[in-house]
Amino acid sequence: MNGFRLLAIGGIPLLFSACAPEIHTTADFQRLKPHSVLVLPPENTTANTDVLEKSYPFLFSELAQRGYYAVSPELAMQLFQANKMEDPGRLNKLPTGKFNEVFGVDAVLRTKVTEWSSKYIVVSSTVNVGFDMELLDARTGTLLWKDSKVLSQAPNNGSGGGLVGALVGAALHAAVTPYEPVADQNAKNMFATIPQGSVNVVTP
Amino acid sequence: MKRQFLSAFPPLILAGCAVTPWPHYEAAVRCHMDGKKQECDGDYLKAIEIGPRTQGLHASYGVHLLLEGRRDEALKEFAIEKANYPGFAPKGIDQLALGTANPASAGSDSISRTETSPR
Repeated sequence: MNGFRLLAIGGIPLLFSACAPEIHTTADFQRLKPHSVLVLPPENTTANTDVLEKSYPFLFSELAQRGYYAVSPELAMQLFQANKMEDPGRLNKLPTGKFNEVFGVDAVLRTKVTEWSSKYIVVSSTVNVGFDMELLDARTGTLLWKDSKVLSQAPNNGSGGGLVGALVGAALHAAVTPYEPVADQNAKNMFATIPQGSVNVVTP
Repeated sequence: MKRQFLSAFPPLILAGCAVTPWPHYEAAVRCHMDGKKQECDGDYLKAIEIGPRTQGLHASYGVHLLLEGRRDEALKEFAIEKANYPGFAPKGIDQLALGTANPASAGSDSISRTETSPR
């Protein structure tokens, strides 16, 4: 009985701590402690054309769920459009102070989509999504956090039906590739290396 | 003891499955960005129903309503956002609400603003 209690008390936190991701923030992060973030539209460096529309909503959502007040894409895009500043490449080059003035945010998240592809090799396919991200203090432009990751996942290719089934499954998959779940997971993994923020995520 | 230990787990497991507004909120944002306009209302409203104080949600819906020409409703949503998150609601809300988001600086590498002092 005592052994069981010990295992219950000591073992479970140990299990969870093994899963805790490493925090990648700079020393300035602790000093400046951002609470609100403007997620800039991701800059697409891949050949795919619809990356912005697909990735912007979940980049914003994942960061917000991490406990930071994130300016919604609708609001950000509307203000950018009103100012004829829709090109993410140009936005990424603007001094961060501009965003602090207009949006009143503490920090700015810049994202480059570096990989958005699927590889199809005979009977299997993999989806690869890569992001380069940096979080900057909006007032000074000081780097607060930086990360770069490519996530590759081999989705279920539906190999039922032997070799022919596997071939068909992989071919179908290559044609209609669900990038969003992989991209979402990659963003989630990356944001897990930022300390949990203090803004209420949901208080129904 | 063993039974007590095991009975503690179902609530933990269920907590992981708690309904959150985020899937609907994200779907609404995606719908809005896809330009589907009126089709998006359902997801915004469902997200508000599940988490009426979700950060940014009322501001998002307000922008959507404003672009739909439903200005009075939009202003109400902006006011709710500001009341829920007085220290965080973006300044840009005021620009949109006042209709001053339009730029004198079109084409230059700057963004127009109504307020100049940093927070």
